Amino acid sequence: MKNAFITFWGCRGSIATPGRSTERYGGNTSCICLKYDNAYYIFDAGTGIRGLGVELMDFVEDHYDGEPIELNIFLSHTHWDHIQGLPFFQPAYDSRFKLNIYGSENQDEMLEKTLSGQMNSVYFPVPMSQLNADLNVHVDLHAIDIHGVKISSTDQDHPGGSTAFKTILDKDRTFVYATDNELDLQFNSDGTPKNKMGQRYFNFISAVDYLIADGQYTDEEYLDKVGWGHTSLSLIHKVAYAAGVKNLVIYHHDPMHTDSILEDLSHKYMQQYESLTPAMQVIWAREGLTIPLRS
Amino acid sequence: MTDVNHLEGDVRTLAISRSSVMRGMKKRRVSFLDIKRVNEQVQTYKLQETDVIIGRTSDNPIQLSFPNISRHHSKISFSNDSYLIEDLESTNGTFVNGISIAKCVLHPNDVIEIGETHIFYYEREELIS
Repeated sequence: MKNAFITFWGCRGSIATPGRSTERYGGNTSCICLKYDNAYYIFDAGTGIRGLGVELMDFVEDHYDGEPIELNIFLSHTHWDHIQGLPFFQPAYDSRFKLNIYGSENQDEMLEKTLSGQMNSVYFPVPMSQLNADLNVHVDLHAIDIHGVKISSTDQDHPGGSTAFKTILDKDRTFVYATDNELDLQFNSDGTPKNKMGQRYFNFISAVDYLIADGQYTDEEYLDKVGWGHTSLSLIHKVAYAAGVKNLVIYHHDPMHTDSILEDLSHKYMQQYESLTPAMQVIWAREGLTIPLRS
Repeated sequence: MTDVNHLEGDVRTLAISRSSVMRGMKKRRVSFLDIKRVNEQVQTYKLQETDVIIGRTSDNPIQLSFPNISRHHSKISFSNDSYLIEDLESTNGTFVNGISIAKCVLHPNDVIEIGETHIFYYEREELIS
């Protein structure tokens, strides 16, 4: 079986939160990278993607053999915390890389126009035309197959829309990346679906090995944030457990959640779900963590 | 003995500049591992900026001679001002805070588990001249 690793480069939701109180879980916004058999599958391009870019530049200096290094970037949506790192992603400026960017069209704007918009001189000094990598934007998300890795998607409930991606590496290993999704509008409080979108999500995540999921709000916080497009912590645990998820990774941490708050929350839910039969492992995503993807 | 009442009215104590206080003093963060096994005394290991391999055989700077430890099990390296632990494709895995990891940037109070050995990571600030 080929090695597969997921690295968390940014786990924070909404806005980057550097500082002493967030050192442990990290302050960079959404970005993870799956490395599988020398291919890269990157999910979201928040500020965390800058660090990944630095590592890839080190890699290319040592390993470039004349063939472009392919980076496949999947964007859940184009809110700032999911695209803001792209102008600072060094491989985008380097012709030794090929960037395939996958994402849904926004209701109002073409994906390519949205990405170039944040590099308008009003916001950023370098225009998109100076990106020297071979850059391709794909908006057709049906039946993606990259070197045998199959990636499917489903729509989520988030203001402006967002997309969840399921990656099937081989018959034994699957993972879903599903952030910025308000499950509280799609599920009953016991974790059962209450509408078609909820049922579709439930089927999408059923029995996956790893679910990387939005867990931005505590149950109490959610009450004041209905309609903001994020999920309450108790509910994502109930839904994941009911769907037979083996490993739940809580992701997209709220910017107000300091390390000590996240530590308390993680202990509470880990103890609760890892003591059940069957157990569901709960991992609280933190920047700088690489986990092996196992079935 | 110092007379506190006299010092309160002494403006010279306010005239000490920051540069004179800090002159010749630099701070450096130093990292340590406390290695703990059941019924054994804690061993403390001070990390340097060179790689440290943990494993079963005697060529490892940190040797854990137990059957469930691989010959070269884990590596701790220094990068970007941080220490990083990496599993060296060991048979039984490297765990940080109970999670099986391939790599992980270490933070104070992280608990590394290798076989039945617990290793506590912590940092201190030291003044160097």
